[in-house]
Amino acid sequence: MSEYCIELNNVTKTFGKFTAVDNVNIKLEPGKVYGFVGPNGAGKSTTMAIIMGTLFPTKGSGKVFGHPLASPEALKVLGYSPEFTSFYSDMNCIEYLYYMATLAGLSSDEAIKRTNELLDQFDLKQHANRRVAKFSTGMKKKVSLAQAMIHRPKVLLLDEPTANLDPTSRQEILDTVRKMVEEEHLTVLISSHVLTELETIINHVIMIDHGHIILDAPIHEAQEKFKQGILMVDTSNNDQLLSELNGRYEYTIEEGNIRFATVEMEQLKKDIVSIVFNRQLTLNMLKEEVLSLDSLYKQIMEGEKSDEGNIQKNA
Amino acid sequence: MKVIFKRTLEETLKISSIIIVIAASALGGYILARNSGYSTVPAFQYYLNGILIRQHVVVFFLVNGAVLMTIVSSISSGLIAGEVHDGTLRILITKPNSRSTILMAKILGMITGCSILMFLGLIVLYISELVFGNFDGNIVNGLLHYLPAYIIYGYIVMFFFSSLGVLLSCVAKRKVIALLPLLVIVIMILGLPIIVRITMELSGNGGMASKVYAVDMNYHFGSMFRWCCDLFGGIHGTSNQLDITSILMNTFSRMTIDMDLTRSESSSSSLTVVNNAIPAIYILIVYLLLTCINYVSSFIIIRKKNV
Repeated sequence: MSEYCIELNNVTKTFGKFTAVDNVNIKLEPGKVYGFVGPNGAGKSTTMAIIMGTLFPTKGSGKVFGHPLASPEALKVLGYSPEFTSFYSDMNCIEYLYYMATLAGLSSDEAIKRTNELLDQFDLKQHANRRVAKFSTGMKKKVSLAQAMIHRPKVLLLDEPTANLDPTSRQEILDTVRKMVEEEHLTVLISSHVLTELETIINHVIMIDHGHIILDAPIHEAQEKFKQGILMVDTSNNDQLLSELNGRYEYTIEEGNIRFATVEMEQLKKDIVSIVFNRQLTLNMLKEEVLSLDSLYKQIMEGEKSDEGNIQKNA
Repeated sequence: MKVIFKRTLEETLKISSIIIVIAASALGGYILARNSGYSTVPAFQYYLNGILIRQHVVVFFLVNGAVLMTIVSSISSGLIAGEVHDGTLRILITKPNSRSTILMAKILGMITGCSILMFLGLIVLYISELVFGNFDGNIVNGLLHYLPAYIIYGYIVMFFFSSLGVLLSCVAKRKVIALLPLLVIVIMILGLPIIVRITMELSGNGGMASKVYAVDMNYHFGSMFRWCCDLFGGIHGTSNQLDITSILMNTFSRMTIDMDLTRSESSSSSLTVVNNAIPAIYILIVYLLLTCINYVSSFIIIRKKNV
């Protein structure tokens, strides 16, 4: 059997002329938590839908623990919580989870037991007899997570589990996910726009943009790689500092501070200290940036955009 | 897939559907019972034929007609499209079941539910007839004799409409889009051809209207209904009694005859004969084939459908 729990090989998905996912290769190892990040329309949800078998790839193939995508064997080990979960308007919480459990192949007794377990785990017991369709967004997300976990899957796919939630509900959902991951030793692919939150959970990051995977690396490796060359500087006269540096280093201005991006970090530091000393400037800040997932994301996306710009210019 | 079967069955047997079936059948039975009297009855068979013909019309148009066709159309068109529109299908198909199994369970649940509704409709029709009609035992036996024919015809209607409904439901993204063509077909069977036929009859072009058999769905279903009745003795009556089926179902037609041949002294020079322009068995085979094609296509489509 394959060492990967999920493999996508050269997967492309087009809708008419629009290519949502373009030649994507993804390999997920068991026991890891993967962050799946990218801007709106990048192809995150489409990729997840392909793994879950709700969409069929136009080209390419994939496997889940060696089973073809969308096969009952593959679906048995996958749990999925979509970005927008719809519920049956006539079902209350306990009926919905019981229905999902029996759909997943649990016997009636097992389904009742598992439903009760999850109601406890997700703190939904006191709402068990209320109609899910009338729940708040946060509670609906919890029910959606619970139904994804109902058959004890080995791999969990969570599409924007914290979208449209207030900070408290977001934290609650993330705490629940974290607890589930620890207790059940799951492999998780989680997409989110709130990148700072993902940082605390994930140990691998996959970035996607315009249907292409642009980064697929363990989070610490990605941070190391992109950390080099980011220096935040603020002096009493930033304009003078920049003119003295004479355009030798790339920079951007962020909230009045200069953000240098360079591979010659040591030389840049020497030059700055020298200018500050010689021109009698006050050095308010000199900080090598610790790369957050958010800034890593920005950096890569900016890189992508400038690459696109260069391509367009060259063309 | 017991759980999907059970849920579909529950959805089919909604209180609103049950009330509609009971109300329509009870009304049909009441109308039949109230109009069964003759001031002078020439013979028992004549009397029974008169009631039976009206009962056939009520079953064809109401119990296994408008009511059954509309209910089957409504349920089958929402089978997949309803869940696509509500967004619930996405979760349903991520559970470890094949799509074919899901569709099969839904179809079986729907057919079982519709069968119960059809039986309920026929039972209520008979009860209503007996309660309001005060018929003697021989008449009751005569009326009940055609129950198996109505059941067979009910299943023909159910399978054809459900197959088309399921196919449209697999293609459409909203239930209403799948339902509309089915309602048009109901009108094509129970309404439009009759209006056209009567209008042309009145304008003196009656012969023309009843010759477009290939597209006359009223004739198709009328013939299949007659075929079912033929299995249990056929539809009998005098020309006057059968006129109603000629107008409403196109199953009989008037044939001009030689007066010398019949030695008839009446002013009428025509006989009512079975309208066999297209043999009923051919029509039945074509509709059964269409039903099979619809179901097979539905399974093919659902297996490759992007949700």
